[in-house]
Amino acid sequence: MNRLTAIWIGLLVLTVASYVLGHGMSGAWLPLTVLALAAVKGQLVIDHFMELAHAPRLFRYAVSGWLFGVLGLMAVFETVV
Amino acid sequence: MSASPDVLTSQAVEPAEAKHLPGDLAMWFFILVELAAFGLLFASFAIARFLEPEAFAAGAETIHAGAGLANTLVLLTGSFFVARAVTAIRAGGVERCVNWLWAGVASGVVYAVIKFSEYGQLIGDGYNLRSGTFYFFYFFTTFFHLMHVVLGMIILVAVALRCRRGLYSAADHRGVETGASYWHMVDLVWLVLFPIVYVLL
Amino acid sequence: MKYKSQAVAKPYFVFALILFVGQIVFGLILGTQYVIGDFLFPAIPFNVARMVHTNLLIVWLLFGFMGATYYLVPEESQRELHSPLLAWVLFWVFAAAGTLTIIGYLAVPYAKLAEITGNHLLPTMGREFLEQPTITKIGIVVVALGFLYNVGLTVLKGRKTVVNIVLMTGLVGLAVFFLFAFYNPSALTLDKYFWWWVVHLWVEGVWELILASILAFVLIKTTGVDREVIEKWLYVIIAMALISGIIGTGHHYFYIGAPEYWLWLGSVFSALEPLPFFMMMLFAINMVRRRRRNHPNRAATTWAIGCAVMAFLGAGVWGFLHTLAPVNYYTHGSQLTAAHGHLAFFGAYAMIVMAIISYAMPLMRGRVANNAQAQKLEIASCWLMSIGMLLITLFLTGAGVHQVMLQRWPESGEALAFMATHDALAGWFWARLAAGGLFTLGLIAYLVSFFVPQREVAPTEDAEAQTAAA
Repeated sequence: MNRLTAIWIGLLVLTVASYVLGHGMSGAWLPLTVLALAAVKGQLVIDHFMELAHAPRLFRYAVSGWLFGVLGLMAVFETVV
Repeated sequence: MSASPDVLTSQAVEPAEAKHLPGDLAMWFFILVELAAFGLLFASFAIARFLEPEAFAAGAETIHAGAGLANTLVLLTGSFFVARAVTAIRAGGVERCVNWLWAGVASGVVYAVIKFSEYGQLIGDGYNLRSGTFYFFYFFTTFFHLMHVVLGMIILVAVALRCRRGLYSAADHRGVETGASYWHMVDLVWLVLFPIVYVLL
Repeated sequence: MKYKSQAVAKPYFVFALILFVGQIVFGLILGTQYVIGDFLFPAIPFNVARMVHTNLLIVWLLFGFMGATYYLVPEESQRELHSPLLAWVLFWVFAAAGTLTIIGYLAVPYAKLAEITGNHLLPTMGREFLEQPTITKIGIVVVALGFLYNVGLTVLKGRKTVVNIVLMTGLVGLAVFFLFAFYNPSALTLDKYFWWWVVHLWVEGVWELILASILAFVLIKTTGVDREVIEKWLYVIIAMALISGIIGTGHHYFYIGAPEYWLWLGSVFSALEPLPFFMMMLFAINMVRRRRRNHPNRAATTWAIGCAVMAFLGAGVWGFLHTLAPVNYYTHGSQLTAAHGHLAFFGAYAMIVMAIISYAMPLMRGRVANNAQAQKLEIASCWLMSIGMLLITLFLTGAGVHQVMLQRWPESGEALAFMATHDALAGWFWARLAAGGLFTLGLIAYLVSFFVPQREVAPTEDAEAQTAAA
């Protein structure tokens, strides 16, 4: 199995996991876990599909910064609300 | 953005450390602007939810999370197909590249069909853009994203047609990378949108 | 000047500057009427002076854009203009229509003008900036069609460059969006929608394309930086302008009866609107810094950079100041709007027209650049006008903030009435009038710079070859 296929399957598994968590369970830890899963998935896409792992750092930082910035903001609001 | 002038005016990007930015630089600036637009939308969503938590919780009950899940899987798969297209052309496989690109376009079609059936059900239930702040954000953000999927499909079709005419090769395939980068951006945005709109609450 | 037909730009530029002078005269009248309410009343009432001030602005900018196009398109397409004769005919048609309209505004009451021009047959009059009689609007459409036909054919038959294509897109958009001026629904909110589709989609949409392409042309010519680099910047700037600008129209739908969700849409997308202007500023400064040669026309470069910087300040920063819905709730239609309007129009559109005039006019008068003395005066005038306009903007901003504090922010019982507020702001308005005087001095210096005798004749073979290389 090549690298892209492994990452693709991993992404599918993580997606289903986050859905099951969100709709099957409850708990204070849940929203942050779902957001963390989204961050992992996003970073996998950024590094391996967008290939920014091997791009000039500026671009990787910008796009990853966007991902973590948005999800981090959601996390802040989750813990505040 | 502050470093952009150097990047835009010199070819310093590649030779310096053998680092490779897939696709045209202009596309990457376009992607960053798109991300900024979606980022502001998501931030506004967070603020609006903070202002009306009950309305957002009630609204979230009514939307179809299953459709959101299905579409996440479809977009991730489409992104995988297009990543394979890039790998294929790098190895000189023009025909394989074209096939993977068409597979990517097909994933976009599936995505759009699911999305429209989702809209159809919700509108049938009596919800629309003006049913309150939650529904505005739900409809607008997902529709704005759908428009980007459509633009991504147009780009992929254009790249596939050019590829079939033999315009890309193992040595020169910048166009394929450019289209692929845009398509992955659309996927990335959805990966953030999915938990925010469909899973949380 | 490489192609003979580029010379048709000259009358357009000259007439644009004549109208510019008229605009400033009426600006001074208005500034005085702000503090001395019955100044020149009843000969020139405030509403008429305001209408003339804004209409002259739009018409002189249109003349400037057309002149710029007639100059730029043949050079970019590498062929003569399709029909210089048509360009001349349209010039006289447009100039006559514009002059008659302004005379109409001044000579008869507006209602009478509407009656004379048969407004009842197809009512389009009475909307801010689009006050022109219906017959003038039809004239504008005819001129625009002829203009687009003429330039469009030139572009189609010649070399297609990104600068040309972006400019044409902007011009076609300008003409198409003007058509919304002919639809005048009686429902007020609906009416505002269509009105903004002209006004906003012009200045925050297609005009930005025109601005970016003229700026790119001037920079290509004066810096000698590679076309490929400049074209890449253009793409990025345009993508940003369109993404932010189109849905950004929503920031005009706040509190006018449009659905509530526009508060979110308008805020989010117009918050992005400073981006293209920021990029344009980086672009201009960067290109000049990386220039491959020192073009003898330093004045043109000064205008180009000045334009990019002032556009960012006026359109970007001052626009953002009051674009978010919670802020706009208090500032809607206040003096802050006027502050933004002044700096944005001057920085983005007046200065780009002066930049292309500064570059093209010496060439059309048979020299690569004006002599050092004339350029010195022109550069000084650029600074004077820019500082004058910045001061106008700052004083109006002060007035706007003060106005909000007195009139909008306090609870109902404590808020000051409209006219009482206006009186309380008199100090700001006097200062603004003085800044307007400074601006006028700059304008006079600018006009004088065209008549500085060119003793040391500039056009050497060498210099000609240098511009030709671009």
